Amino acid sequence: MDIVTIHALKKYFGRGPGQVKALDGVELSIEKGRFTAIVGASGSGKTTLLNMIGGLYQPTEGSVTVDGMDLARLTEEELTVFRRRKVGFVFQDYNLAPELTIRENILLPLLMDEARPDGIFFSEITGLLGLKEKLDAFPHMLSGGGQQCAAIARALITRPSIILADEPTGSLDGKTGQSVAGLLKMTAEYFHQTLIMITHSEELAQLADRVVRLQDGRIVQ
Amino acid sequence: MTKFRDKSISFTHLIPATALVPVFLGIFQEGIPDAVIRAGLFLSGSLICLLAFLGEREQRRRWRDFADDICGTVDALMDGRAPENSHPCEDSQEARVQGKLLQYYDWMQECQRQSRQERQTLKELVSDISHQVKTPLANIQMFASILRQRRLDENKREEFLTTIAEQAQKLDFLMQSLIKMSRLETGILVMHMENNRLCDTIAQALSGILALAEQKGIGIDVSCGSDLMVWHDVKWTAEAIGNILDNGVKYTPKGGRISISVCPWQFYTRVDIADTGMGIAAEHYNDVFQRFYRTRDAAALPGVGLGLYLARSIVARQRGYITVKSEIGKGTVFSVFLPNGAE
Repeated sequence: MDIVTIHALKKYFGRGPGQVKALDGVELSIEKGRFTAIVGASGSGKTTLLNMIGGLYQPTEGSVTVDGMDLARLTEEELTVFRRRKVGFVFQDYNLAPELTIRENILLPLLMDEARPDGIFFSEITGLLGLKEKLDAFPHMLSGGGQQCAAIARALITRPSIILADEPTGSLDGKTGQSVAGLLKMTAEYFHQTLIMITHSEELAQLADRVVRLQDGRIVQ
Repeated sequence: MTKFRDKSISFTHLIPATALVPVFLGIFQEGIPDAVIRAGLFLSGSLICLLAFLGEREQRRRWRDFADDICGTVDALMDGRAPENSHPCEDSQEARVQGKLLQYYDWMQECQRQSRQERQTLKELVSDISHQVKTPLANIQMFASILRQRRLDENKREEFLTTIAEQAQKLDFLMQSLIKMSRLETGILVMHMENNRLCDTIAQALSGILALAEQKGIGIDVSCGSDLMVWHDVKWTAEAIGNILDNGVKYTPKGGRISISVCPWQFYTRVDIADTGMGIAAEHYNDVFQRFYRTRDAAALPGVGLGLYLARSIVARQRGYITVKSEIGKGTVFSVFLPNGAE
């Protein structure tokens, strides 16, 4: 069963001669519960594609359907709720709030949705990601790998339909990057989540069930 | 739920009860001589009572609508149809609960799908194995028949008997692998995870390939801290590493080298198994972990294509993973990542 269906997707930025064709006719289906890696050189359209799946951009042409919802038909307010409830984002630079503790950072998406945290699930996630001893620490007190683990926990806490990771290892050294990618894969498998990860590393792409290659805004493999 | 309802009743009754005080004051209080004030108290109290009554009715209506929506969603899901009036991205509590119900339904469907897929995998596994078993069985039958029916010279006899023995060995290997695979695939295998010395596990894995490596003149060196403790299942991890090593010895030419190095990382312990064998083309990195997959170059050598598949399944069961990096003609490095920590 497919959780993401992309049909004839085009996304152009700007107009006239300076127009950038970030995505130029992408056809893609992603199966529920699988780990998909999107690989490609810089400027190939990877991040644009991920942002379109996350409802951050509207298509110039074509459609993006996530979990049965055509994103182009959602209002701005509905898209906000969609991002809050259906998608877990993991960014390259962690995006943790520096003034909040790790515990507060992880629970932040639930607070925004006025939802009560599930203690058992919280404990499970933090245990798997090795954060139990660091919950009262502030982000700057953790290593890059530790901060990214907190960001992964924050992405998982709402039990979203899909996890979108944009170069999650980009700010980390090779060793930690490899480990964080492994943890991301392991937690996604453990909680039966669909994971889409952007990477330029062929080594990390090996961890995925499927590798999608982008070149000049088109899927080449 | 009952608790909430009790609370809500007491709260909604508190407002009209309080409002009744000025009503009674307006009617009966003789200490308030001014009729206008009395009338004002009476009217304002009555108004509050009326508003409280209407408010409570509205609240009840909302709860009924909420319950109807949720029941409607559950009914639709039980009937296997999409719920009407479902707006999972609406910023309301109804939509939030509806969304969770839909997610739960999806999850149940996914579990059923996985269960079906597991049954299918098992079916394919049995089919694959029976297909693999056919060739050695046919060979044994054929050579046994020749030995029984024809008079052969001693050399030929010996050759056929050796072939029969080899084919029987292959059959035995297939059967052993079948047992391991079926236990892994059906999830009945229980990993005995403990904090154990990794170098002991590696030594156990090495014991299975030393003879063959010596026979081929392949040198083996190991770099692993003797006191390094890692959370893993000794028996099965040794099996996984042993399978990778077996692969290395098989595909490394005479006089080659196999190196094992262990490096503890923040979240994982990395075990690199490097050989100087024929190498694997990048496009086959994922294929080599598939059941019964063998590259064209490897087909001439003994093996059935189960070792790496088993190794990956075993490591995945321990929440670890394996990657491969290779250069054709120069060698391959398999990296096994075992998670640190006792979760």
